[in-house]
Amino acid sequence: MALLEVQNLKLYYKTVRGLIRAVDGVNFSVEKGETLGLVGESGCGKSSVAISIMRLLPRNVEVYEGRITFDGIDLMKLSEEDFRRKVRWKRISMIFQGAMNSLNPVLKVGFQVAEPLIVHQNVDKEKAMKKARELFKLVGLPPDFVERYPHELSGGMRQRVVIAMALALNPEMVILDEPTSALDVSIQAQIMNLLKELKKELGLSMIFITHDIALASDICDKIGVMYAGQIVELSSIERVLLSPKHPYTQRLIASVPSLREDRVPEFIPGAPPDLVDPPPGCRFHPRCPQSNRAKCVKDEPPMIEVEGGHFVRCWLYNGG
Amino acid sequence: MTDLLLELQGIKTYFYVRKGLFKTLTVKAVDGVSLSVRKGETVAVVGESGSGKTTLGKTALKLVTPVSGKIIFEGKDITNLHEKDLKWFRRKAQMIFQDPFTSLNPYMTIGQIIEEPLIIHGFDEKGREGRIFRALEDVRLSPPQDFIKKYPHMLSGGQRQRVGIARCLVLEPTFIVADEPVSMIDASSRAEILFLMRSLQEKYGMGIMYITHDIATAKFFSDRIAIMYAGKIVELGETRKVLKNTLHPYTAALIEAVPDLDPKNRFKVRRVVPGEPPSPINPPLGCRFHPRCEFKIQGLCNVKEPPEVVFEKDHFVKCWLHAENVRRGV
Repeated sequence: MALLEVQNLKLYYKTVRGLIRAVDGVNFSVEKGETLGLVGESGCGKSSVAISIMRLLPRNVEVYEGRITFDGIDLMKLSEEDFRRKVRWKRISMIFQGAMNSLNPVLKVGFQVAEPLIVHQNVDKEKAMKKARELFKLVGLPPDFVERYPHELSGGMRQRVVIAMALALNPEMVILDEPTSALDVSIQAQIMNLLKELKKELGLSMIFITHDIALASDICDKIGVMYAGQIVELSSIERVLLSPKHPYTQRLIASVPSLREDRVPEFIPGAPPDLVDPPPGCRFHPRCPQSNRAKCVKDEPPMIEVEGGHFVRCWLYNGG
Repeated sequence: MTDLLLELQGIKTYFYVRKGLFKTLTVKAVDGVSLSVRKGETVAVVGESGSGKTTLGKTALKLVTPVSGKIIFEGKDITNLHEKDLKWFRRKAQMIFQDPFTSLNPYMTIGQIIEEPLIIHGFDEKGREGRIFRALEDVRLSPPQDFIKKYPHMLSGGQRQRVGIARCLVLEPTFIVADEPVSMIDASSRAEILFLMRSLQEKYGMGIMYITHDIATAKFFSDRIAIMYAGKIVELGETRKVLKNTLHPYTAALIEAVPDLDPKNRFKVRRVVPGEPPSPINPPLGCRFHPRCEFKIQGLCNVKEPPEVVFEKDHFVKCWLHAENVRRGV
């Protein structure tokens, strides 16, 4: 059985403009030790999937339904208190986008890493600080940096602190939301190397959220390509990168400028749809070069399995 | 050379920060950079944050005045010209900003945003409308009559950035500094904006300084590339040559750090340069990259600043490794 299983997840926000269907029927699973990449453009709902799993929902959520099973536990059915005590941070932790800039500036970074131990596990401060030193070593920081304040550290080091924080309670799964998007490329490569090591050493399961499909190839075993609140293609990284099926995935891959090949990057004309009023039929059809069937405009394509474990949401592969 | 548009000679741009009551620290953002931009040419300035690339762009537009060096634009030395004598330059040299979400006034319509520079430069009302329409058509926001009435929040990121380009085009500039014009835009639309800038360049022949941290887009959208590190250009040359025949260890590291679309990536540990870029307040002696460089020559790289080594025409590197090779005749 998969460690995490998400079934027909929906998350709608209420706004003055109407309901925003940020996540609209998402299915995926993550095995133990596996890394799933959620890739898509801004506003496609990838971060909303993350906060749905962590149950960190803003107040304007109108619809939150589906089923999220983690190690046999139905996460949506747990009471808030049980979820906080038994799951959040302890078994699933998260690295938020730009978290390195949200460290508390008046607390030493070591204490900020130790804090979850003190709060969740009633460890005394001295022991917790000892563990913080170990965690610093694990993420490649000198252990005596626990005594420093955030402003004394560079961006790359602060990101390592945030990673240490997420690992403090030995979680089985870590959700990473754009963990390197605020970093320079050379520092990004260092952090990606660290994440690869941690994945291997600790057998961590991860959900890696990014807009950069090339970066996803650096760590993910499996990729879910999201578009307008839905997963449109889901398979192993090999299949998604080497034989993408969905026209959106194909175009997304073609838009990556390559340093090593002479292929000229392409672009997808138009912009992603407004999630208050997504287009009928396939949500990608207004931008799709291959949408020539009446069905694409009228009916929403179902997710179908084209090969074992390769799912695509597109009429091209469904008899049409 | 007659097609020379902008020439920066030995530019040093420093900032001063007060520390405590009596101490003043000097931030050497740009520290001795020479770079030229020809008509119709795109020069990419590639570097990481803090490398001084944006300050260099601002200096080229004389938004900041360098402490030494010369800015020569269309043959005229404008380094120390007073702002009131610069109006002609302000019209000819324009900037495209990084963030299309904050660089457009949300209370102004697209028409007003694009009209403002025309008003500042004293165009009469009749002439303005035609120019606004032409600029909008140039950036493919058509039909223009629909777009002039819209507000920025009604547009997508890519469309907003095209408004930013239209605003800079209405004055028919000959020189544009584009500071990370696509870094805030979705990957799927980046190439669209860059293709657009290139087609406009072919049409109007302006010179572009393309400032970016992304060496991959620079590969496709620049003729020459300058790699900046800690306030200095460490390698400069034709883009294709620099990428194919990379000389400086830092350039090589930048290239190595960019992942490509290879599913085997996840099994490899990427070769990275350790550490982080130095502080521009107190840069290391000698070559500024030496603390992170795996090829450093002790007693040389950490002591003396490397000279400029010309590798072939229009391709130079600042690195002792190559200087030594040349000296030994390798």
